Amino acid sequence: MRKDYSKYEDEELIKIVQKGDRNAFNELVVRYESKILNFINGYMNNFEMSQDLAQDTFYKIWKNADKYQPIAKFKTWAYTIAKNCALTEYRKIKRRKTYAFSQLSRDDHEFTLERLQGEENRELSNDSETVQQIRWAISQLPGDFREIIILKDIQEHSYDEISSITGLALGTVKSRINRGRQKIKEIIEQNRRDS
Amino acid sequence: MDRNNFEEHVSAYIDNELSKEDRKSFEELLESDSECREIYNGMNQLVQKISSLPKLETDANFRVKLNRQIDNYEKSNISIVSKLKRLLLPDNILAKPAIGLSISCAAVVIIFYMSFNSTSDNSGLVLTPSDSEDEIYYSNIDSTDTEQYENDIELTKGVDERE
Repeated sequence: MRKDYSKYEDEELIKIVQKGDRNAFNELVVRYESKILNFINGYMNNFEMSQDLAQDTFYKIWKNADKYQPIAKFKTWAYTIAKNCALTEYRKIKRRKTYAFSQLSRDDHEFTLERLQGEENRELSNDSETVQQIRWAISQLPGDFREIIILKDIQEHSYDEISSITGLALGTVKSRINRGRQKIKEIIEQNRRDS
Repeated sequence: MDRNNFEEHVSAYIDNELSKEDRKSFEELLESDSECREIYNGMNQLVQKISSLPKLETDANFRVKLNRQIDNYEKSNISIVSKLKRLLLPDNILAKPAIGLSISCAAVVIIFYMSFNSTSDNSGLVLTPSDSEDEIYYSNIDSTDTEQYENDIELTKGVDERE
């Protein structure tokens, strides 16, 4: 008979996964797929890409389950893997963009910059100040703030939980949430002024 | 808490993460200072907007694709192990008459040789110190050791003569 894993703690489940149990692994996928997807999307701001990276995250969790140490919460470990996947891809894209941009002539640079900025602003003004604009502003935050804002405002974790996930002191979490939100306001206002 | 550090506590107030005491003084400032109210309202609106962002959900194929990826990984893992096994330990190695016979013969020869050596005269197997070993021994003794050695011999001679 198939075991009911829904009442197990995450840490108990990953221990069972370490023995190669796929059903226990699937229970963890059910619990975290949406959270990991939204977390990654905060970095990428692209659904398709974020979904691929979420799949990659779970694949790595399965492959490296034996490396999990019970000293950390499963949640912390899973988010760390997700963050590494997202950052690696984010840097790749950035490098590709920089390389492609450096191959253009000076005239092309100016044209492309204007065109890109115009497109971005148009996209934002179409959806004025709502979903797209806020998502975009979050993706523009410096890394340290972005991670905390995603965990708080999108994943709805408490300050204590964020502190345990990130390993940051409670005071640091508190100030980063506040400053991160202020920065989002600034980014949105700056974008409105520019357009 | 006062007007100067009010702004630092706005988010914690909205998120219900302030202590009772701080919450009370925050609310007092909120009532008495219109500028504080403005800061709070602005931040509160933003937080409402962010938390009302629709949550993304994985599509229907997500788990199917993930499980397929893991299946492929498991298969490739198993096939590497079985390839290695096949290479090092072919399943029917003893079933092949030529290989089986060769292994059996080799085993018989080794056993016969070992038992013959253990029952015959051991003189051939006893190691005696050779000249070359003496050379190695003396070359490892430095000059002071040699002098000490010669003195010891002299003293021993004396004892023998006295006896």
